[in-house]
Amino acid sequence: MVDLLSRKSDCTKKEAEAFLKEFFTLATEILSSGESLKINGLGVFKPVWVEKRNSVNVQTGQPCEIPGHYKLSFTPDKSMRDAVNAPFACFEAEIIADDVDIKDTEIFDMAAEDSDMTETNIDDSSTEMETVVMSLDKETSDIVIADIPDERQNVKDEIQPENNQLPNEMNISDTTNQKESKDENTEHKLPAEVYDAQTAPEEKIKEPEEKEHIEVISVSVVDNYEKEEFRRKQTWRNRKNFWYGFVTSLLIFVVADLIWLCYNGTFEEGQVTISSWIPAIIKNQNQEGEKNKDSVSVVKALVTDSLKTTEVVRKDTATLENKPITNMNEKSNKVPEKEINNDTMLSEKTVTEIMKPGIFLTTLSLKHFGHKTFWVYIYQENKANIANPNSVPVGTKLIIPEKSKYNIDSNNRESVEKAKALATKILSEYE
Amino acid sequence: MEYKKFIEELQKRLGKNKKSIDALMSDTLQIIKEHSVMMDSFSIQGFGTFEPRKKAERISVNPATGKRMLIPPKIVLTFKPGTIIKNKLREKSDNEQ
Repeated sequence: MVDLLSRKSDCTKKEAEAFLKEFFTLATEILSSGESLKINGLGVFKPVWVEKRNSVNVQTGQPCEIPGHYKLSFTPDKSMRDAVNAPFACFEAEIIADDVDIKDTEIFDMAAEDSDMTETNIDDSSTEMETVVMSLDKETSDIVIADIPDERQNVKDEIQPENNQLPNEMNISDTTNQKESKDENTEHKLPAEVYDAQTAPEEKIKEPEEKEHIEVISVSVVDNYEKEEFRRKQTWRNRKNFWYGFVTSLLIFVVADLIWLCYNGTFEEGQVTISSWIPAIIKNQNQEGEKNKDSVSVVKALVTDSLKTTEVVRKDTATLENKPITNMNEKSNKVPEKEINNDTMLSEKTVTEIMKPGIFLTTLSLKHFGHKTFWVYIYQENKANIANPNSVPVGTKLIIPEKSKYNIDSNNRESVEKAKALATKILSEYE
Repeated sequence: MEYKKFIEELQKRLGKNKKSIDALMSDTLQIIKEHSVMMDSFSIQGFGTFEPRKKAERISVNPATGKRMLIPPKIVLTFKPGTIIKNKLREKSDNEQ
């Protein structure tokens, strides 16, 4: 402190030290005596009397009384306060219209959880089905096979893709060490398997001849194979199902967050990151889709026609999952495109500003007019280019109007009040 | 105590003219301000610590109008008194009881 001061004010260290010592000892003396002290440019120090109150000892839980005492309060000066708060100066207290805002987010969370629940339910039901099938199969393996061809067929269908999928998954995780890709992959497989289990019996009813043909193979292959692999697979299944639930819930939360950001996009940075994220995700998914197709083709070679339907189902799910995301991508891309088109039409005679991340209409107003409420006039001047004054995309060119055009005067109270009234009017349209 | 009185008292103790004290004062405050803007806490031996703190945004209700407001996040300069001031104040409150 002494060093800094002596360097700053070009005086000897001795002088600086003497000054500081006196300054703060005097301050302590004044404050200790119970008087308040005001220092211009710093703030007001004030000893405040705190009444006695009852409290509870945190450790023992016993009630105790805190006696009345003095507390030193410090209120920074306006200049000091503004200087410290400079990074957040552009924000202003905002009135929330109804309880819309908070409940919206809460409802969204609930919805996300609900969809999560249904997802896991599907998962559970699929496991139940499988266990039922397994048990049925075990009981009747030696007796009448013809009575329950559907179940047997079903089991065989499920087991063989599984065999292929398991090593496949291992390979993928080895080659691409990215966790995400694996997650996406497993997610694709989950619905596919569910569909597999459900559609397989239906198909067999339609084609009884084919059923018999495959039955013969299934009896010979599956009976030996099954008993050895049965236990291992069940443990694998349990683990896998747990991970499926976990992964899907994670993905749903991520997607929900992205949508929320898009919807609420007050920050330009958010939009930029989203639009750059989405293509990456789609790429990932496309890759996974291809991998799935590969695995399916291998399976197909082994299991013959009965799995054709599963391939179709898999493709369907892959495209289904890609669709909503591509839609979202289109939406987020459309807005910046419009802006670029409009930019070329702008004349550049007057003062212009280009929006950058971290810069708001209010900051521009503060810079050019000396008060942040005058952002409304910047907005009015550029109404054609700004879809929503709450979020102006990065890179938008803005014309800064002349002060005289709107009677802008940061020292004139009426002018400020007028701008504020206009601001509430404009903002009410976007709520 | 008002600022004027405080400066006068300082003048008496240091035996310097008002101008030099004013200059030193503004420089001192400038140093504190610079540190606060950089989000550095600044402690003065025997007096206390100035520390800028971030306050998160919150929703509060205007008691007069009953309207709910979203208060934006901000940085506030806080001051924690040192042990000397604390002890003196404690003595004072003990005496009053």
